[in-house]
Amino acid sequence: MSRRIQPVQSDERVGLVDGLRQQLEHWGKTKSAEETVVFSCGVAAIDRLLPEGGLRPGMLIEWLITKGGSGAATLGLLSAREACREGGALVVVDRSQTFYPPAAAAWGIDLKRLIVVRPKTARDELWAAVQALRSPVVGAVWGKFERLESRAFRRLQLAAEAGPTLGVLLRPVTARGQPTWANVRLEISPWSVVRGPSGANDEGRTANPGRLAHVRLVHCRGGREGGSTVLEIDDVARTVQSGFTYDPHPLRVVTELADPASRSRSARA
Amino acid sequence: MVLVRSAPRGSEVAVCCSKAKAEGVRLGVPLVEAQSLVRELAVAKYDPVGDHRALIKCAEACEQFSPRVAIEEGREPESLLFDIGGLEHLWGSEGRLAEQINKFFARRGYLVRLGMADTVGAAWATAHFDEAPADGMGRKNESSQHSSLGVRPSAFALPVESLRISEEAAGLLQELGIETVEQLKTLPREGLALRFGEKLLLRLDQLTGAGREVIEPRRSLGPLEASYVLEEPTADWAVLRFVFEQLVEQLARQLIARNQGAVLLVGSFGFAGETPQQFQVGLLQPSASTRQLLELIELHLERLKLRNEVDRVELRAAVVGNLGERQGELFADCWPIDPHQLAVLVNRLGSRLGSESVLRAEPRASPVPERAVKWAAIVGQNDRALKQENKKTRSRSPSSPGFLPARPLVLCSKPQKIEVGCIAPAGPPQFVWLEKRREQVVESVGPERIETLWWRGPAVRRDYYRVTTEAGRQLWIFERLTDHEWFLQGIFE
Repeated sequence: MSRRIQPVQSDERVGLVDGLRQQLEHWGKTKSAEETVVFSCGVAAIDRLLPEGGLRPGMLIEWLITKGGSGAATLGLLSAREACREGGALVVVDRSQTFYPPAAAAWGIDLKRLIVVRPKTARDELWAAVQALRSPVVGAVWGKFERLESRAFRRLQLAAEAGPTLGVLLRPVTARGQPTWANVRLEISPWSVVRGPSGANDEGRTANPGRLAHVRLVHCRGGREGGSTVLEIDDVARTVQSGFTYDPHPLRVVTELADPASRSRSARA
Repeated sequence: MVLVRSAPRGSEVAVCCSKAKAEGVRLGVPLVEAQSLVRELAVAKYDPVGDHRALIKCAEACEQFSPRVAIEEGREPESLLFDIGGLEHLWGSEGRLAEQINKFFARRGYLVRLGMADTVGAAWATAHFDEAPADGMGRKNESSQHSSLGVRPSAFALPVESLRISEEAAGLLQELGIETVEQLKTLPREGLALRFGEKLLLRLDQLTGAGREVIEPRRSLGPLEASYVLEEPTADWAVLRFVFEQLVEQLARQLIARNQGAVLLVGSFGFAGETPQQFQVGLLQPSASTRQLLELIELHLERLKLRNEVDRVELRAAVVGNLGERQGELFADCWPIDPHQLAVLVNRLGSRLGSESVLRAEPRASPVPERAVKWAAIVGQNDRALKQENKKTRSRSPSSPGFLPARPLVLCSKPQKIEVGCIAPAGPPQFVWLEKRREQVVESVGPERIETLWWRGPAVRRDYYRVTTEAGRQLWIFERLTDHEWFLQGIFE
């Protein structure tokens, strides 16, 4: 005799999902992660999107860039700067040889603790990133990775945990459909460049227009995704101002859990 | 007397004698100014390389007095260090030995100052700062009656400069009213280490004898090398790995016996009838660890292509250092974490990627973006490509912290020529052609004019704009004012 399962009320379902999420978060944490301290990612508005209110050493943060020049490199560098506050080195993996240290220094990076690695091949790029992530003297590794296979990504994640070192990976938006081993995956795209009344002059030009970027939390291990915020990155004052933040809905829209009652009905049919 | 070197504005004083100094001549002043201060000033060319060569010759010749003769450390050494422990009976007394040394140098036309003590630090201090050091060579015996450390109490009355510390550190100590070593000794060590670094305490300990300092003879005891002849030529990496294991073990034993570590390893593959193929492995810190050296060699060999089958393998420690020494000043004073671990990482990266791929950036005071940074290999020497890149950096002075206008994190290694469209002849661009696509400019900030001075090489005259395209990209572009061509310099990412 089959037992009919009563439909769960909406409030109960929210509680159930939250409970499951907490359990997942707990299991997802490694021992080393529990021993580390949460630090800000450098931008308060992004911190608010993250489940723990910041990052931990040993995490991988993946920035998906929809179009060049959207601010991911700068925001990623701010996370790396915060990760190196305790004195660790910052390793920049710069295969394209375009990283410009004076600009990084202007954003607060200590060049005395900066190691720039210029690998010549994609293989060496991955190897160098793994070595740097695994090193206990490195606070953060920052680099652009066009292609990253799942196994290579996993190597980076294990190395970051072994460090424990923060890994900031800048990736093209085409990587969105690929599986990720990053703890946090953020997507960044330029926000409408039409200025509001605060910043524009008659010609639509401002004295110092900051870059407007829309940051969306695409994936977060053990947290709610879907939250987003608009940021203004000012390259002159070297500040990041938050515009407005969208609160994520407590339940995911796409991967909403099926109603237990309907599931049980379909199973019997 | 002064020694002069050439400077952009004529000759300047590099070294001056005490008499000239007393007349007001200072280092770095133009020669004409020095000549106006001192009548009949003797002038000679400053030749540090020649001086160093002469010092080496003197050191070699002085091995008749002691088997262990060393040249003091530092960029421009001027002292010889003799280990005379246990040699008194050969010369009768220390005084007789000093007399012989004085005569030896006098015959060659040198006037020298000698100092003898139980520590290198005290001997150096006495030779440099004691009023009459050369005449009292028997003082050590006399001093040992007064001091349990074997250093004359008067050595502590010497100025703080006698500790072989930097001029800045000595100046700072004097500003704080600490003039002598004696005064320094009474201060708490923790506070000194915090304010002046560990080096000051090390030098103090080396003077008193509390810290160890070994005189490493300049003339090496023999080459540090090992070789292996293969019975059959091979290109099999498994075999070559085994060979390197043997060679590294041999080399490590030799290094440990001398309390030294390798800083630069040179390996060589011999081929029958062909010139050998060499490779180099640089290290940040001296190491005699078999495991570490072997790992670095293996990482290097991963990217090496053998020209032919090998019949002989050689390994040589071309540059060595005392174990525990740090090479260079990378991250010195600001590194709260293990320098050994840092060396492990940098050595590994450098061994596989090449030392030219592991870099540190030194900001330079130049308004031209591509000249505002100088790249330096962390381990080893800059290669040709890096030297070429650094040629753009003409400014030798480091940049001082201050306001820097907006600069992109991504800078094109060479400005890329682009097409732009402007409504006004000297106005901001309205659209740009990028990657064969026309992008409308919706915002622009500028111009920021960057010009260089005519005596700094080819003149640069540019008007920079920060433009935002309709696609949301923010570009840093400039107009070259000499020919009104437009270039992309960087992207704000």
